[in-house]
Amino acid sequence: MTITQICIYIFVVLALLALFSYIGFVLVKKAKQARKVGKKIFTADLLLQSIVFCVLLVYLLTIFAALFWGVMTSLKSLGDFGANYLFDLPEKLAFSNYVKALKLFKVPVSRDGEIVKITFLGLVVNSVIYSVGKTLVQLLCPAIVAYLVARFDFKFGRIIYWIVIMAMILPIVGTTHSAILLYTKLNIRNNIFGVLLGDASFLGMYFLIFHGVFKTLPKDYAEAAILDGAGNTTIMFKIMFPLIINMLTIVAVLLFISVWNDYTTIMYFLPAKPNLAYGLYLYNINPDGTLSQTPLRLVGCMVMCLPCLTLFLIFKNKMIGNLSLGGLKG
Amino acid sequence: MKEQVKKTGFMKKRRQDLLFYIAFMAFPVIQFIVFYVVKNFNSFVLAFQGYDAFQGYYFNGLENFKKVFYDIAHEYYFKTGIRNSLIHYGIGLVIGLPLGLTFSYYIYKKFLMSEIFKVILFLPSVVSIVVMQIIWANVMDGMIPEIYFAKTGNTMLGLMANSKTRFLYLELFNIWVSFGGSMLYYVGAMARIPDSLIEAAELDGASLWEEFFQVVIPLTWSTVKTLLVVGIAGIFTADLNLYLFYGTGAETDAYIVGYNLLRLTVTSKLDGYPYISAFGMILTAVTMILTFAMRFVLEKYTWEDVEF
Repeated sequence: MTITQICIYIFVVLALLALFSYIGFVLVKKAKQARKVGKKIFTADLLLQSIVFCVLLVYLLTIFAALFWGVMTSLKSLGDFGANYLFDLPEKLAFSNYVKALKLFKVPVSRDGEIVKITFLGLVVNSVIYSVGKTLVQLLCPAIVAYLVARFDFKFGRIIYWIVIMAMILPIVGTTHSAILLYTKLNIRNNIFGVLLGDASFLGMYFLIFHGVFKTLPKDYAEAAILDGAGNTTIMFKIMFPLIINMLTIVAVLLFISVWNDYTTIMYFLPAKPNLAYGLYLYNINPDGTLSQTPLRLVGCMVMCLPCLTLFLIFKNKMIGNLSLGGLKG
Repeated sequence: MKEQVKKTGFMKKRRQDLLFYIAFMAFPVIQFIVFYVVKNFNSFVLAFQGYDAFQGYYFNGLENFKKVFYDIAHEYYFKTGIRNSLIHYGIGLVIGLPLGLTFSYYIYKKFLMSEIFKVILFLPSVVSIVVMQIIWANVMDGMIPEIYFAKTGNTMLGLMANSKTRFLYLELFNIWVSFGGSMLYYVGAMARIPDSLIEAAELDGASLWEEFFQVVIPLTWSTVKTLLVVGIAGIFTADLNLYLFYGTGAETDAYIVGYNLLRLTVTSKLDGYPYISAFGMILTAVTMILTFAMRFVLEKYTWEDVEF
């Protein structure tokens, strides 16, 4: 057993010890608190809580183990991975895998009948442009339309509301091929900005979320601004949108994460401008000689996860517990 | 006079509002017409057309529909696809929904380690599905045969390679990665329940079980109902991540309708599109019926929406 392996084992044992100490500590604290306030404790409740806790703990361990395996395997040297196939820890942490994989990671795509190889940097650039662009259009379009429908009493707004509801509960299935034809006819297939036009739709769940929020916001702020001489644009962008900035941030983060990880839209509409997710998918499904080894592919995986994980860890408290969806009225 | 000035001021404001409304509504409406109405209308028209290389698309009546119905009745993968789609939806309803609600309640009540579980439950939605699949396939498909070999000295097929376990293997993966999305909405809906209601239930001596079924579920039911109704469309669009695992070459016993549609879309050329349109139209019609049925059942036999 090497020193690296011993260190990793010690780390895992310490982490488990810390976890169980924490559980014991919290249980004792809770029991003391309950006793202090004379709260009734049902045995069935404790049993139920313990069962759910155990199921969640098992789930946590599977996710943790899977990601731990992913990180460790990405640090295995190629020989190491071949010799100690799946579950042994790396003999030595091969950080050079990262440099190697990022250099080798090239996705061949067909552009105007020619095969072009997109480098890792190219994939990142495509990912960033497309993710930021799509996040912006899919955030602003539903937000603006929801604002207009919720705050102005024009009859057209009611039609829009109904269109959104109907499109959600009665979606038309199997029309992607028609979209491909349309994009090809409009000459916007394989054009990031053209595809973003197609993505700039107000339909969907986020419209309902924004509509619900704008409906419940008091009108006082807008009325005060009108008295101060503010126009509609100022009221919308400088008063009402900042009031729901938390909601906008949550939706933006959710959108960014889903677009960053999306490979199917790219496969249909931007196959010549692949993003990281699609590049990784292509490698996974058709591995070529250079990157067919699992450790190198996992390097790509780990690098791809970084932006979303960072965003999630920053905004996790805002995201969970703050997103509410009303019912479908009508 | 005063009234007239007031009226003129109101009219001016109304006109300004209208101009603002039109200015900001114009782009979304045009976008909707081009990318939703035209796209879907085009698909509708295609369903009644045929294609040949010389004359392009031409009207051919109900031929595409006849072909789809023939395939549904005779092709093994169609029947399997429909059966698997219904099983997949049933599993989501019977296992995914109760587990999602229970986990969300656990987090909402801030029970032991709920902060950590909150992160872990949502983590598979943050990490790309491609990444999760690569890890899952290596661990699950590599681990079990390896353990079996170490214990018995005999070899066995991986869970994905074995036709008996393939569907279960894909379902397990799906459940494993899918709690995050719905949990966001469930926890959000639970967080909106006024504290006073929960406190009143506690003072009345309600157990967790009673609080969950008599306070929390009825008050969050409108959100659950919305997700259930919207989820009906998923019966025919969910692809069980088959494309991720197999590309276009999945084994037919694992087929699901959403995957079949996706596979057809990826592999078809211009002559294949009318068939997909007809298939899509049939699925849309079935989805509509199921959606209305689901709404009817939910409205009639479950909790009413509560405003609070």
